[in-house]
Amino acid sequence: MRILCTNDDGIHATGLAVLEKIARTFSDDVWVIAPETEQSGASRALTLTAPIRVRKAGEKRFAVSGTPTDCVLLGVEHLMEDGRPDLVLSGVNRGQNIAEDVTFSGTIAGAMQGMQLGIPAIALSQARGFRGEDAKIPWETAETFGPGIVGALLKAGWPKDVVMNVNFPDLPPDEVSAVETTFQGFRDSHIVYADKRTDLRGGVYFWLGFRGTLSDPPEGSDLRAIYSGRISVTPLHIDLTHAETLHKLKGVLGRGAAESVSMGDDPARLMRFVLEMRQEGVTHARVLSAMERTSRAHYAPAHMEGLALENVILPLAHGQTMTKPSLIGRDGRRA
Amino acid sequence: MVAALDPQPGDTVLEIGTGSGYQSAVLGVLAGKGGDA
Repeated sequence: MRILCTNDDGIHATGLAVLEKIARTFSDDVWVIAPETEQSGASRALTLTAPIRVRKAGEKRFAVSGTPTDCVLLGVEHLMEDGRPDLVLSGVNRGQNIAEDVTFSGTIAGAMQGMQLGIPAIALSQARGFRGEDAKIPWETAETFGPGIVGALLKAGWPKDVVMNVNFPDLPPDEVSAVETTFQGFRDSHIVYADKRTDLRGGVYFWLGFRGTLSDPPEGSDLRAIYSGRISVTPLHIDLTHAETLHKLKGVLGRGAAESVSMGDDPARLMRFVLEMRQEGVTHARVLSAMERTSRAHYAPAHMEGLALENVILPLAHGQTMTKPSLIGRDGRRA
Repeated sequence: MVAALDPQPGDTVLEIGTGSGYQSAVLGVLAGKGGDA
């Protein structure tokens, strides 16, 4: 297995060395392609207004004058010229990437770029700051549990448009209580703030930083897992659409061109639909292709459109139903 | 059901009790140019 390791803390970061150790438990073919300088908070930035320089820092090791996204893009398309990676690992970040951190994080962006290029990708972060600013970051926790979790995830597999977000709690390994599969939380207080300062010549400047205030998150969230000393594993995807509001708005603002362009026509969803049909026994190639080309969302009631590409019966008016699509497509005769 | 029927291009298909019409549309694609559903 060929593994690409990247991060957002930069090529010299301790967490990157930890990540490399985790990767080497799976393969000897480990490549490290990481930013030359720290890119924390870079999100999914691409470097578009400056050239990107690459410095060879060793065998299968490169420092890139850009963002984590740049690193994965260059790695897959240029630097790993004799073969694409089978896995992208990003991290181990110095600090947790949970709740709304997910959208600021360069670490998660590195994994997302791997996913976008069709490569399974996992972001890993080591929480810190829960035991006081002076407490040592427990890197040994990520190092201890990382291989087992990555291995279990690889064995289980996950959809092509999903990235895995793993966070290790700010505790030594022997105090970690459990591994929990979580949803992405949302803090009830805003922790990023700007501190206004004055320089020695009277000019005003700002530093952005984080307030260490805790939220009161629900059970099941990534926040609650990390607060409670559990390892958090969240499957993320890049689609930020809020489905419930989308459907409400369609009632208020109208469906627009929904007659021809609908949610159901999203290519990734359509691909999942076709795959599911095949798994459910629709094996006739022409039928599969006809179902792929016929938007079921187009025929579903407007408020059910979001469910049109699921393999479910949908209610119609007067007690009628739309048949389960797999039943339509299958050859129902007994073999 | 559609796979068992296996409509070919040019076929004419009559579906009775179409519901939403989704299956008719799939049949229509299979019957293709020159065919009817």
